[in-house]
Amino acid sequence: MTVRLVEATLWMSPRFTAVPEIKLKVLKMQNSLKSNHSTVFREPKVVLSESFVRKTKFIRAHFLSVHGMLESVVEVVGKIIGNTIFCVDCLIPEATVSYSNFHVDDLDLARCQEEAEKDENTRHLFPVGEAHYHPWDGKPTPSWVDKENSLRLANLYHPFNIDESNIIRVLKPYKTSPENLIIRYKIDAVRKFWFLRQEEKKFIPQIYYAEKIKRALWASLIYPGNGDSDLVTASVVEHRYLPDEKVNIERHDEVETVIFSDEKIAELLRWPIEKINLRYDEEILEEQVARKYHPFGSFYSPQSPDFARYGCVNNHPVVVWQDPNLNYPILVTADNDSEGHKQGFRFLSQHSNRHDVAALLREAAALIDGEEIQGSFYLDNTTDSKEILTALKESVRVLKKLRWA
Amino acid sequence: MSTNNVNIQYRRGGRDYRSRTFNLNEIRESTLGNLIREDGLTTGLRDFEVYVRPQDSESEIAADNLENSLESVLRSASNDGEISGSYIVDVTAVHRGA
Repeated sequence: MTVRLVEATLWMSPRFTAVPEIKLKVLKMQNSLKSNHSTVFREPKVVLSESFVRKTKFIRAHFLSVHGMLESVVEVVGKIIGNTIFCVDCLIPEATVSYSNFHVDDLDLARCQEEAEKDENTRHLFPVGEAHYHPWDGKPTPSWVDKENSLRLANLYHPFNIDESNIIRVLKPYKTSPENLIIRYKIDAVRKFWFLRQEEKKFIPQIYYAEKIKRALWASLIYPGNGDSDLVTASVVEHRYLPDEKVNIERHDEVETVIFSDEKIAELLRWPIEKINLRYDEEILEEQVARKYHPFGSFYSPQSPDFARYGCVNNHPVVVWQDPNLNYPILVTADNDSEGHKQGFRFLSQHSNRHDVAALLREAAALIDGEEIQGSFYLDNTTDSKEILTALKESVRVLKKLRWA
Repeated sequence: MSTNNVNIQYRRGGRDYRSRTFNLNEIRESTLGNLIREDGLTTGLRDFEVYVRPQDSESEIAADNLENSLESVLRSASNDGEISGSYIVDVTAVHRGA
Protein backbone atom coordinates (compact mmCIF):
# COMPACT_ATOMS: atom_id res chain seq x y z
CA MET A 1 0.00 0.00 0.00
CA THR A 2 2.81 2.37 0.88
CA VAL A 3 4.55 1.69 -2.41
CA ARG A 4 1.39 2.44 -4.31
CA LEU A 5 1.06 5.78 -2.56
CA VAL A 6 4.63 6.77 -3.37
CA GLU A 7 4.06 5.94 -7.01
CA ALA A 8 0.89 7.95 -7.05
CA THR A 9 2.64 10.96 -5.55
CA LEU A 10 5.45 10.83 -8.08
CA TRP A 11 3.05 10.46 -10.94
CA MET A 12 0.95 13.35 -9.78
CA SER A 13 3.80 15.77 -9.20
CA PRO A 14 4.01 17.17 -12.75
CA ARG A 15 0.39 18.16 -12.52
CA PHE A 16 0.92 20.01 -9.29
CA THR A 17 3.56 22.20 -10.89
CA ALA A 18 0.87 23.55 -13.19
CA VAL A 19 -1.32 24.68 -10.30
CA PRO A 20 -1.03 28.44 -9.88
CA GLU A 21 0.92 29.49 -6.85
CA ILE A 22 -0.19 32.70 -5.22
CA LYS A 23 1.97 34.68 -2.84
CA LEU A 24 0.52 37.55 -0.91
CA LYS A 25 2.75 40.31 0.14
CA VAL A 26 1.96 43.77 1.45
CA LEU A 27 4.52 46.05 -0.13
CA LYS A 28 3.51 49.43 1.13
CA MET A 29 0.58 51.46 2.34
CA GLN A 30 -1.50 52.55 -0.60
CA ASN A 31 -4.57 54.71 -0.66
CA SER A 32 -5.53 54.49 -4.26
CA LEU A 33 -5.99 51.89 -6.95
CA LYS A 34 -4.11 54.18 -9.33
CA SER A 35 -0.77 53.52 -7.69
CA ASN A 36 2.04 52.30 -9.89
CA HIS A 37 2.40 48.55 -10.00
CA SER A 38 5.61 47.14 -11.32
CA THR A 39 4.97 44.16 -13.54
CA VAL A 40 7.41 41.32 -13.77
CA PHE A 41 5.31 39.76 -16.50
CA ARG A 42 5.84 41.54 -19.76
CA GLU A 43 3.48 41.99 -22.66
CA PRO A 44 4.38 40.28 -25.93
CA LYS A 45 7.12 41.95 -27.89
CA VAL A 46 8.06 41.70 -31.55
CA VAL A 47 11.73 41.67 -32.48
CA LEU A 48 12.78 42.14 -36.10
CA SER A 49 16.26 41.15 -37.20
CA GLU A 50 18.24 43.61 -39.30
CA SER A 51 18.35 41.04 -42.07
CA PHE A 52 14.58 40.66 -41.97
CA VAL A 53 14.11 44.43 -42.23
CA ARG A 54 16.56 44.64 -45.13
CA LYS A 55 14.97 41.77 -47.04
CA THR A 56 11.37 42.97 -46.56
CA LYS A 57 12.39 46.48 -47.62
CA PHE A 58 13.98 45.13 -50.75
CA ILE A 59 10.89 43.07 -51.60
CA ARG A 60 8.56 46.01 -51.03
CA ALA A 61 10.70 48.43 -53.05
CA HIS A 62 10.83 46.03 -55.95
CA PHE A 63 7.11 45.35 -55.66
CA LEU A 64 6.41 49.08 -55.94
CA SER A 65 8.55 49.38 -59.02
CA VAL A 66 6.87 46.41 -60.71
CA HIS A 67 3.26 46.54 -59.56
CA GLY A 68 2.82 50.09 -58.31
CA MET A 69 1.24 51.36 -55.11
CA LEU A 70 -0.85 48.33 -54.19
CA GLU A 71 -1.02 46.21 -51.08
CA SER A 72 1.50 43.41 -50.76
CA VAL A 73 1.98 40.62 -48.27
CA VAL A 74 4.72 38.35 -46.91
CA GLU A 75 4.53 35.45 -44.48
CA VAL A 76 6.85 35.77 -41.49
CA VAL A 77 8.86 32.90 -40.05
CA GLY A 78 11.05 32.85 -36.98
CA LYS A 79 11.03 31.66 -33.41
CA ILE A 80 9.11 32.40 -30.23
CA ILE A 81 10.74 32.41 -26.82
CA GLY A 82 8.75 33.49 -23.79
CA ASN A 83 7.03 36.78 -24.58
CA THR A 84 9.12 37.56 -27.62
CA ILE A 85 8.39 36.86 -31.25
CA PHE A 86 11.60 36.86 -33.26
CA CYS A 87 10.95 37.62 -36.94
CA VAL A 88 13.90 36.17 -38.81
CA ASP A 89 12.85 35.60 -42.41
CA CYS A 90 9.93 36.16 -44.75
CA LEU A 91 8.29 34.11 -47.49
CA ILE A 92 6.60 35.35 -50.62
CA PRO A 93 3.27 33.63 -51.25
CA GLU A 94 1.31 33.55 -54.49
CA ALA A 95 -1.11 36.39 -53.88
CA THR A 96 -3.72 38.44 -55.63
CA VAL A 97 -2.97 42.03 -54.76
CA SER A 98 -4.97 45.14 -55.45
CA TYR A 99 -5.53 48.56 -54.10
CA SER A 100 -6.34 48.27 -50.39
CA ASN A 101 -6.67 44.50 -50.19
CA PHE A 102 -4.96 41.20 -50.97
CA HIS A 103 -5.86 37.54 -51.04
CA VAL A 104 -3.77 34.39 -50.61
CA ASP A 105 -5.62 31.17 -51.41
CA ASP A 106 -5.60 28.29 -48.93
CA LEU A 107 -3.55 26.15 -51.24
CA ASP A 108 -1.04 28.89 -52.03
CA LEU A 109 -0.56 29.65 -48.35
CA ALA A 110 0.05 25.96 -47.67
CA ARG A 111 2.48 25.67 -50.59
CA CYS A 112 4.43 28.68 -49.43
CA GLN A 113 4.95 27.16 -45.96
CA GLU A 114 5.60 23.73 -47.42
CA GLU A 115 8.44 25.13 -49.53
CA ALA A 116 9.90 26.74 -46.43
CA GLU A 117 9.70 23.50 -44.51
CA LYS A 118 11.51 21.62 -47.27
CA ASP A 119 14.21 24.25 -47.73
CA GLU A 120 17.31 23.64 -45.63
CA ASN A 121 17.75 27.38 -45.03
CA THR A 122 14.30 27.86 -43.55
CA ARG A 123 13.45 24.45 -42.11
CA HIS A 124 14.35 25.50 -38.56
CA LEU A 125 11.98 28.47 -38.70
CA PHE A 126 8.32 28.29 -37.76
CA PRO A 127 5.45 30.42 -38.94
CA VAL A 128 5.24 33.26 -36.42
CA GLY A 129 3.24 35.93 -38.22
CA GLU A 130 2.37 37.81 -41.34
CA ALA A 131 3.14 41.25 -42.64
CA HIS A 132 1.43 43.39 -45.19
CA TYR A 133 1.83 46.84 -46.63
CA HIS A 134 -0.92 49.39 -46.92
CA PRO A 135 -0.88 51.37 -50.15
CA TRP A 136 -0.45 54.76 -48.49
CA ASP A 137 2.04 56.27 -46.11
CA GLY A 138 1.61 57.12 -42.46
CA LYS A 139 1.20 54.83 -39.47
CA PRO A 140 -1.29 52.13 -40.43
CA THR A 141 -4.16 50.83 -38.35
CA PRO A 142 -5.61 47.33 -38.69
CA SER A 143 -8.98 47.03 -40.39
CA TRP A 144 -11.61 44.53 -39.24
CA VAL A 145 -10.51 42.29 -42.13
CA ASP A 146 -6.95 42.43 -40.81
CA LYS A 147 -8.11 41.54 -37.31
CA GLU A 148 -10.19 38.62 -38.50
CA ASN A 149 -7.32 37.46 -40.64
CA SER A 150 -4.85 37.59 -37.74
CA LEU A 151 -7.13 35.40 -35.71
CA ARG A 152 -7.63 32.94 -38.57
CA LEU A 153 -3.90 32.53 -39.18
CA ALA A 154 -3.06 32.45 -35.48
CA ASN A 155 -5.57 29.61 -35.10
CA LEU A 156 -4.11 27.80 -38.08
CA TYR A 157 -0.51 27.91 -36.88
CA HIS A 158 -0.73 27.95 -33.09
CA PRO A 159 0.21 24.26 -32.71
CA PHE A 160 3.68 25.09 -34.06
CA ASN A 161 4.35 27.98 -31.73
CA ILE A 162 3.53 26.58 -28.33
CA ASP A 163 6.11 27.66 -25.83
CA GLU A 164 6.29 27.03 -22.08
CA SER A 165 7.55 29.66 -19.73
CA ASN A 166 7.37 30.65 -16.09
CA ILE A 167 5.83 33.99 -15.35
CA ILE A 168 5.62 36.02 -12.20
CA ARG A 169 3.68 39.21 -12.19
CA VAL A 170 2.12 41.68 -9.86
CA LEU A 171 -1.62 41.66 -10.26
CA LYS A 172 -3.32 44.98 -10.51
CA PRO A 173 -6.57 45.45 -8.58
CA TYR A 174 -9.19 46.52 -11.05
CA LYS A 175 -12.19 47.05 -8.83
CA THR A 176 -13.05 47.49 -5.18
CA SER A 177 -16.26 47.60 -3.24
CA PRO A 178 -17.32 51.04 -1.97
CA GLU A 179 -16.22 50.09 1.53
CA ASN A 180 -12.92 48.89 0.19
CA LEU A 181 -13.47 45.50 1.79
CA ILE A 182 -13.50 43.51 -1.43
CA ILE A 183 -10.75 43.95 -3.98
CA ARG A 184 -10.89 42.16 -7.31
CA TYR A 185 -7.82 40.97 -9.14
CA LYS A 186 -7.70 39.80 -12.71
CA ILE A 187 -5.32 37.09 -13.92
CA ASP A 188 -6.58 37.11 -17.48
CA ALA A 189 -9.81 37.40 -19.44
CA VAL A 190 -11.37 34.34 -17.82
CA ARG A 191 -9.67 34.10 -14.43
CA LYS A 192 -10.07 36.52 -11.58
CA PHE A 193 -10.41 36.39 -7.85
CA TRP A 194 -11.65 38.52 -4.98
CA PHE A 195 -9.67 39.50 -1.94
CA LEU A 196 -11.84 39.85 1.14
CA ARG A 197 -10.79 41.81 4.19
CA GLN A 198 -12.22 41.68 7.66
CA GLU A 199 -12.16 45.42 8.16
CA GLU A 200 -11.33 48.51 6.18
CA LYS A 201 -7.66 49.27 5.93
CA LYS A 202 -5.90 52.04 4.13
CA PHE A 203 -3.61 49.86 2.07
CA ILE A 204 -4.26 47.53 -0.79
CA PRO A 205 -2.23 44.32 -0.84
CA GLN A 206 -0.03 43.77 -3.83
CA ILE A 207 -0.31 40.25 -5.10
CA TYR A 208 2.41 38.31 -6.79
CA TYR A 209 1.11 35.68 -9.15
CA ALA A 210 3.33 32.89 -10.40
CA GLU A 211 2.36 30.39 -13.06
CA LYS A 212 3.89 28.08 -15.59
CA ILE A 213 2.12 28.93 -18.79
CA LYS A 214 1.90 27.27 -22.15
CA ARG A 215 1.05 29.55 -24.99
CA ALA A 216 1.46 30.41 -28.64
CA LEU A 217 1.92 33.87 -30.10
CA TRP A 218 1.19 35.20 -33.57
CA ALA A 219 2.37 38.57 -34.88
CA SER A 220 0.54 40.69 -37.41
CA LEU A 221 2.64 43.50 -38.82
CA ILE A 222 1.26 46.29 -40.95
CA TYR A 223 3.66 48.59 -42.75
CA PRO A 224 2.99 51.89 -44.51
CA GLY A 225 3.32 51.90 -48.29
CA ASN A 226 6.98 52.92 -48.25
CA GLY A 227 7.90 49.98 -45.97
CA ASP A 228 9.21 52.21 -43.18
CA SER A 229 9.98 49.91 -40.25
CA ASP A 230 9.76 52.79 -37.77
CA LEU A 231 6.05 53.14 -38.52
CA VAL A 232 5.13 49.47 -38.39
CA THR A 233 2.01 48.60 -36.42
CA ALA A 234 2.18 45.28 -34.62
CA SER A 235 -0.55 43.30 -32.94
CA VAL A 236 -0.27 39.88 -31.39
CA VAL A 237 -2.81 37.09 -30.99
CA GLU A 238 -2.08 34.95 -27.97
CA HIS A 239 -3.35 31.40 -27.41
CA ARG A 240 -2.89 30.69 -23.74
CA TYR A 241 -3.46 27.19 -22.43
CA LEU A 242 -5.03 27.18 -19.01
CA PRO A 243 -4.14 24.44 -16.50
CA ASP A 244 -7.21 22.44 -17.49
CA GLU A 245 -6.07 22.59 -21.17
CA LYS A 246 -8.73 25.06 -22.20
CA VAL A 247 -7.46 27.76 -24.50
CA ASN A 248 -7.89 31.44 -23.85
CA ILE A 249 -7.39 33.63 -26.91
CA GLU A 250 -6.37 37.21 -26.38
CA ARG A 251 -5.45 39.99 -28.78
CA HIS A 252 -2.78 42.58 -27.94
CA ASP A 253 -2.75 45.80 -29.94
CA GLU A 254 0.03 48.37 -30.31
CA VAL A 255 2.67 45.82 -29.39
CA GLU A 256 6.20 47.10 -28.95
CA THR A 257 8.37 46.39 -31.99
CA VAL A 258 12.14 46.68 -31.95
CA ILE A 259 14.94 45.97 -34.41
CA PHE A 260 17.91 43.99 -33.12
CA SER A 261 21.19 43.31 -34.86
CA ASP A 262 21.65 39.85 -36.33
CA GLU A 263 24.42 39.17 -33.83
CA LYS A 264 22.22 39.99 -30.85
CA ILE A 265 19.40 37.77 -32.12
CA ALA A 266 21.85 34.93 -32.77
CA GLU A 267 23.00 35.29 -29.16
CA LEU A 268 19.44 35.37 -27.77
CA LEU A 269 18.27 32.40 -29.84
CA ARG A 270 21.58 30.57 -29.39
CA TRP A 271 21.76 29.96 -33.10
CA PRO A 272 24.80 30.37 -35.32
CA ILE A 273 24.89 33.77 -36.99
CA GLU A 274 24.56 32.14 -40.42
CA LYS A 275 20.98 31.22 -39.57
CA ILE A 276 20.05 34.83 -38.83
CA ASN A 277 22.15 36.73 -41.33
CA LEU A 278 20.08 36.16 -44.46
CA ARG A 279 21.86 35.72 -47.72
CA TYR A 280 19.44 36.03 -50.55
CA ASP A 281 19.83 36.35 -54.25
CA GLU A 282 18.27 39.65 -55.29
CA GLU A 283 17.57 38.37 -58.78
CA ILE A 284 15.63 35.40 -57.43
CA LEU A 285 13.60 37.70 -55.18
CA GLU A 286 12.89 40.03 -58.08
CA GLU A 287 11.73 37.10 -60.17
CA GLN A 288 9.47 35.91 -57.34
CA VAL A 289 7.97 39.38 -56.88
CA ALA A 290 7.17 39.58 -60.57
CA ARG A 291 5.83 36.02 -60.75
CA LYS A 292 3.98 35.46 -57.49
CA TYR A 293 2.05 38.70 -57.04
CA HIS A 294 -0.93 39.03 -59.35
CA PRO A 295 -2.33 42.56 -59.56
CA PHE A 296 -6.08 42.84 -59.60
CA GLY A 297 -6.84 46.41 -60.35
CA SER A 298 -3.84 48.48 -61.22
CA PHE A 299 -1.83 51.55 -60.61
CA TYR A 300 -1.87 54.52 -62.88
CA SER A 301 0.96 56.98 -62.88
CA PRO A 302 0.70 60.15 -64.98
CA GLN A 303 4.48 59.99 -65.33
CA SER A 304 4.28 56.64 -67.03
CA PRO A 305 4.02 56.82 -70.82
CA ASP A 306 1.95 53.66 -70.98
CA PHE A 307 -0.41 54.80 -68.28
CA ALA A 308 -3.40 52.96 -69.68
CA ARG A 309 -3.07 50.19 -67.15
CA TYR A 310 -6.24 49.39 -65.44
CA GLY A 311 -8.08 46.68 -63.62
CA CYS A 312 -11.40 45.84 -62.02
CA VAL A 313 -12.77 46.06 -58.53
CA ASN A 314 -16.13 44.41 -58.03
CA ASN A 315 -16.50 44.19 -61.81
CA HIS A 316 -16.04 47.93 -62.22
CA PRO A 317 -13.15 49.23 -64.28
CA VAL A 318 -10.82 51.19 -62.08
CA VAL A 319 -8.02 53.58 -62.77
CA VAL A 320 -5.70 54.42 -59.94
CA TRP A 321 -3.86 57.70 -60.03
CA GLN A 322 -0.91 58.44 -57.83
CA ASP A 323 0.87 61.73 -57.82
CA PRO A 324 4.33 61.78 -56.23
CA ASN A 325 3.42 65.08 -54.55
CA LEU A 326 0.48 63.49 -52.78
CA ASN A 327 0.91 60.63 -50.39
CA TYR A 328 -2.40 59.05 -51.25
CA PRO A 329 -3.70 57.46 -54.41
CA ILE A 330 -7.03 58.34 -55.99
CA LEU A 331 -9.25 55.73 -57.54
CA VAL A 332 -11.67 56.55 -60.28
CA THR A 333 -14.31 54.05 -61.25
CA ALA A 334 -17.37 54.02 -63.47
CA ASP A 335 -20.76 53.47 -61.90
CA ASN A 336 -23.36 51.58 -63.90
CA ASP A 337 -26.88 50.57 -63.11
CA SER A 338 -27.97 46.94 -63.21
CA GLU A 339 -28.53 47.11 -66.98
CA GLY A 340 -25.09 48.48 -67.61
CA HIS A 341 -26.18 52.02 -68.36
CA LYS A 342 -23.80 54.72 -67.42
CA GLN A 343 -24.68 56.53 -64.24
CA GLY A 344 -21.52 58.47 -63.58
CA PHE A 345 -18.21 58.11 -61.89
CA ARG A 346 -17.18 57.37 -58.40
CA PHE A 347 -14.02 58.61 -56.79
CA LEU A 348 -12.37 56.90 -53.92
CA SER A 349 -9.56 58.17 -51.81
CA GLN A 350 -8.00 57.12 -48.57
CA HIS A 351 -6.76 60.58 -47.72
CA SER A 352 -8.02 62.19 -44.55
CA ASN A 353 -9.51 64.99 -46.66
CA ARG A 354 -11.07 62.47 -48.98
CA HIS A 355 -14.48 64.11 -48.77
CA ASP A 356 -13.05 67.35 -50.10
CA VAL A 357 -11.13 65.55 -52.81
CA ALA A 358 -14.10 63.43 -53.75
CA ALA A 359 -16.38 66.47 -53.89
CA LEU A 360 -13.94 68.28 -56.12
CA LEU A 361 -13.55 65.32 -58.41
CA ARG A 362 -17.27 64.69 -58.56
CA GLU A 363 -17.89 68.25 -59.59
CA ALA A 364 -15.14 68.14 -62.16
CA ALA A 365 -16.40 64.84 -63.50
CA ALA A 366 -19.86 66.24 -64.07
CA LEU A 367 -18.32 68.93 -66.21
CA ILE A 368 -15.92 66.71 -68.07
CA ASP A 369 -18.54 64.08 -68.72
CA GLY A 370 -20.49 66.70 -70.63
CA GLU A 371 -17.23 67.46 -72.40
CA GLU A 372 -17.72 71.16 -71.77
CA ILE A 373 -16.30 73.23 -69.00
CA GLN A 374 -19.13 75.25 -67.50
CA GLY A 375 -18.46 78.86 -66.63
CA SER A 376 -19.81 78.46 -63.14
CA PHE A 377 -17.25 75.85 -62.25
CA TYR A 378 -14.76 77.08 -59.77
CA LEU A 379 -11.43 75.48 -59.16
CA ASP A 380 -8.92 77.03 -56.82
CA ASN A 381 -5.43 77.72 -58.01
CA THR A 382 -3.50 75.31 -55.86
CA THR A 383 -1.19 72.94 -57.65
CA ASP A 384 -2.91 69.94 -56.14
CA SER A 385 -6.27 70.85 -57.55
CA LYS A 386 -4.88 71.41 -61.02
CA GLU A 387 -3.08 68.13 -60.95
CA ILE A 388 -6.14 66.36 -59.67
CA LEU A 389 -8.16 67.80 -62.51
CA THR A 390 -5.54 66.79 -65.07
CA ALA A 391 -5.41 63.29 -63.68
CA LEU A 392 -9.15 63.13 -63.59
CA LYS A 393 -9.45 64.04 -67.25
CA GLU A 394 -7.02 61.31 -68.15
CA SER A 395 -8.75 58.83 -65.91
CA VAL A 396 -12.17 59.59 -67.31
CA ARG A 397 -10.82 59.30 -70.82
CA VAL A 398 -9.48 55.83 -70.04
CA LEU A 399 -12.73 54.84 -68.40
CA LYS A 400 -14.76 56.00 -71.37
CA LYS A 401 -12.60 53.96 -73.68
CA LEU A 402 -12.99 50.94 -71.44
CA ARG A 403 -16.68 51.09 -70.85
CA TRP A 404 -18.34 52.83 -73.70
CA ALA A 405 -15.99 52.53 -76.63
CA MET B 1 -6.78 -1.83 -52.70
CA SER B 2 -3.18 -2.88 -52.90
CA THR B 3 -2.20 -2.61 -49.23
CA ASN B 4 -3.82 -2.98 -45.86
CA ASN B 5 -2.14 -0.06 -44.14
CA VAL B 6 -2.02 3.51 -45.29
CA ASN B 7 0.03 6.24 -43.68
CA ILE B 8 -1.42 9.71 -43.58
CA GLN B 9 0.70 12.73 -42.87
CA TYR B 10 -1.41 15.57 -41.50
CA ARG B 11 -0.47 19.14 -42.20
CA ARG B 12 -1.77 22.48 -41.01
CA GLY B 13 -1.17 25.32 -43.39
CA GLY B 14 1.52 23.38 -45.27
CA ARG B 15 3.51 22.44 -42.16
CA ASP B 16 3.88 18.86 -40.98
CA TYR B 17 1.61 18.37 -37.98
CA ARG B 18 1.42 14.67 -37.09
CA SER B 19 0.99 11.35 -38.86
CA ARG B 20 -1.23 8.35 -38.40
CA THR B 21 -1.56 4.87 -39.86
CA PHE B 22 -4.92 3.42 -40.86
CA ASN B 23 -5.94 -0.11 -41.60
CA LEU B 24 -8.37 -1.23 -44.24
CA ASN B 25 -11.44 -1.12 -42.03
CA GLU B 26 -10.70 2.33 -40.67
CA ILE B 27 -10.28 3.67 -44.18
CA ARG B 28 -13.65 2.27 -45.20
CA GLU B 29 -15.54 3.24 -42.07
CA SER B 30 -14.21 6.73 -41.39
CA THR B 31 -15.34 9.87 -43.08
CA LEU B 32 -12.73 12.49 -43.79
CA GLY B 33 -14.62 15.04 -41.72
CA ASN B 34 -14.74 12.84 -38.61
CA LEU B 35 -11.12 11.98 -39.00
CA ILE B 36 -9.72 15.46 -39.19
CA ARG B 37 -11.94 16.63 -36.35
CA GLU B 38 -10.94 13.71 -34.10
CA ASP B 39 -7.27 14.29 -34.76
CA GLY B 40 -7.48 17.98 -33.97
CA LEU B 41 -6.68 19.25 -37.44
CA THR B 42 -9.53 21.72 -37.47
CA THR B 43 -9.19 22.89 -33.87
CA GLY B 44 -9.71 26.63 -33.74
CA LEU B 45 -10.52 26.91 -37.42
CA ARG B 46 -13.87 28.19 -38.57
CA ASP B 47 -13.22 28.50 -42.30
CA PHE B 48 -10.79 26.08 -43.86
CA GLU B 49 -10.07 23.96 -46.91
CA VAL B 50 -8.79 20.39 -46.97
CA TYR B 51 -6.39 19.21 -49.66
CA VAL B 52 -5.39 15.59 -50.21
CA ARG B 53 -2.63 14.09 -52.34
CA PRO B 54 -0.36 11.06 -52.48
CA GLN B 55 2.99 11.86 -50.88
CA ASP B 56 4.90 11.25 -54.10
CA SER B 57 2.61 13.36 -56.25
CA GLU B 58 2.29 17.09 -56.78
CA SER B 59 -1.33 17.03 -57.87
CA GLU B 60 -3.79 17.70 -55.07
CA ILE B 61 -7.52 17.49 -54.80
CA ALA B 62 -9.65 19.82 -52.72
CA ALA B 63 -11.83 17.63 -50.51
CA ASP B 64 -15.07 19.55 -50.80
CA ASN B 65 -17.36 17.02 -49.16
CA LEU B 66 -16.07 16.08 -45.75
CA GLU B 67 -18.81 13.49 -45.33
CA ASN B 68 -17.24 11.27 -47.98
CA SER B 69 -15.52 8.14 -46.72
CA LEU B 70 -11.75 8.28 -46.40
CA GLU B 71 -11.60 5.47 -48.93
CA SER B 72 -13.35 7.45 -51.64
CA VAL B 73 -11.28 10.57 -50.93
CA LEU B 74 -7.98 8.71 -51.13
CA ARG B 75 -9.12 6.93 -54.26
CA SER B 76 -9.96 10.25 -55.91
CA ALA B 77 -6.60 11.68 -54.90
CA SER B 78 -4.67 8.72 -56.31
CA ASN B 79 -3.49 9.04 -59.86
CA ASP B 80 -4.52 5.50 -60.76
CA GLY B 81 -7.46 5.10 -58.38
CA GLU B 82 -5.54 2.61 -56.25
CA ILE B 83 -4.99 3.30 -52.57
CA SER B 84 -1.42 2.62 -51.52
CA GLY B 85 1.53 4.17 -49.71
CA SER B 86 1.40 7.51 -47.96
CA TYR B 87 -0.90 10.48 -48.34
CA ILE B 88 -0.84 14.05 -47.21
CA VAL B 89 -3.96 15.68 -45.80
CA ASP B 90 -3.48 19.42 -45.43
CA VAL B 91 -5.95 21.63 -43.60
CA THR B 92 -5.40 25.29 -44.28
CA ALA B 93 -7.12 28.64 -44.27
CA VAL B 94 -7.20 31.56 -46.62
CA HIS B 95 -5.06 34.61 -45.88
CA ARG B 96 -6.44 38.01 -46.77
CA GLY B 97 -6.15 41.53 -45.58
CA ALA B 98 -7.20 45.10 -46.19
